[in-house]
Amino acid sequence: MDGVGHTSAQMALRDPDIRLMLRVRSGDTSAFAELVERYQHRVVGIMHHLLGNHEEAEDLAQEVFLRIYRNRSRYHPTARFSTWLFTIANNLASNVLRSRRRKPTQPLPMTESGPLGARPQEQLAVDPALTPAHGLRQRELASVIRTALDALNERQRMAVILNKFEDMNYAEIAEVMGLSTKAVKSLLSRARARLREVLHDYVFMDDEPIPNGTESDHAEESP
Amino acid sequence: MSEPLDERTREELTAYLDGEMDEPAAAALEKRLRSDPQLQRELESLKRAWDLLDFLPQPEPSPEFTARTLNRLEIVRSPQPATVTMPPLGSLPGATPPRGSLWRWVLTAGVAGVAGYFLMGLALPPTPRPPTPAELEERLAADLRLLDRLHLYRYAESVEFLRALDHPDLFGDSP
Repeated sequence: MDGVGHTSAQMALRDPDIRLMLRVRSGDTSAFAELVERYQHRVVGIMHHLLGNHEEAEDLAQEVFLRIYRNRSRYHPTARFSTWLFTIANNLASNVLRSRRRKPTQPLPMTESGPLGARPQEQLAVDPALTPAHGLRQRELASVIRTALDALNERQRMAVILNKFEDMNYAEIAEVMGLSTKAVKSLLSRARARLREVLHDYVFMDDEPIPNGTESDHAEESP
Repeated sequence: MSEPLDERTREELTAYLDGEMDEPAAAALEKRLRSDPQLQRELESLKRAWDLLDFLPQPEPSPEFTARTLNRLEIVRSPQPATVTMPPLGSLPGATPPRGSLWRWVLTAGVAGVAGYFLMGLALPPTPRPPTPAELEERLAADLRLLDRLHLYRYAESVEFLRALDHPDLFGDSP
């Protein structure tokens, strides 16, 4: 057995996901069902955070798993299965978001702030009852944070989701998103600054001095 | 007013918070933090904003997610529409060789009937009177059962095959 094959065999022995995927590769549908069971929460979660719509997130998550199955013969156990899975999820979500930008499919509700709804700052500011000092109900806070997440560009949002909710390090995120580690660092730095900007009222206390230069620029990060 | 934070420093703070900084760089940053209150506030505010993401509810997939995914997989694996699979007619006991679809048979019969009608019309005197509405209704009623199940018969290749299906060994009433 050559070096690569030996390494792959060792990885397969250690990683139950790889063992399952190798069974899927040989056409075992029950192994595929087990993989879906194991990863459905994570894939649906990522898609939901990215798209902000649960039904669409489930449809897309299903498509991710179907692509896994369709491309099973191309799978080689040289990397973690989750990295391969999230790479497919990232590609698919990017396509959907790109197509959504070109051709919006959902009607936008008309509001006082115009067809695009309240801007993040409008939603966050104003109402004194919605300050940390007065306490917030969790649902309201979740809605505000959802708005903050939507204020990030797509790549920032994906990097944040993978880092925050999938606990991925920069190198893993870089592999999934096809970027350099340096670009991921830059993405996350700008994303954090943008989040702080939008969540301003929940980050700084009333009597707290606000640091200068907190505004994130929105220039595109270089890959 | 203090100086705005440059991008590089902000990236360093982010990498520090994410645990992505090597030990010497982290030690150097900690030293700076101890002597720079503005940098401390920056770090703290970036951390607070990040921690707020914990309040975002974690969406759960619907209970039937796996089943629905597997159903879609079945559709992917069998791209042909689900139809009744017919055995070759020649393999059925007493079956005659295939003669084309039922539709072709009906069409041929129709054409032959029309042609026959005209030929007969030449040889015989014309029909004395057209059928009355009651007669037409009677004919329609006689064919009603066939018309009612025409959508099912579309899947049959021939009348002979349908007759073969009627054989008691296949779907006959079991005692």
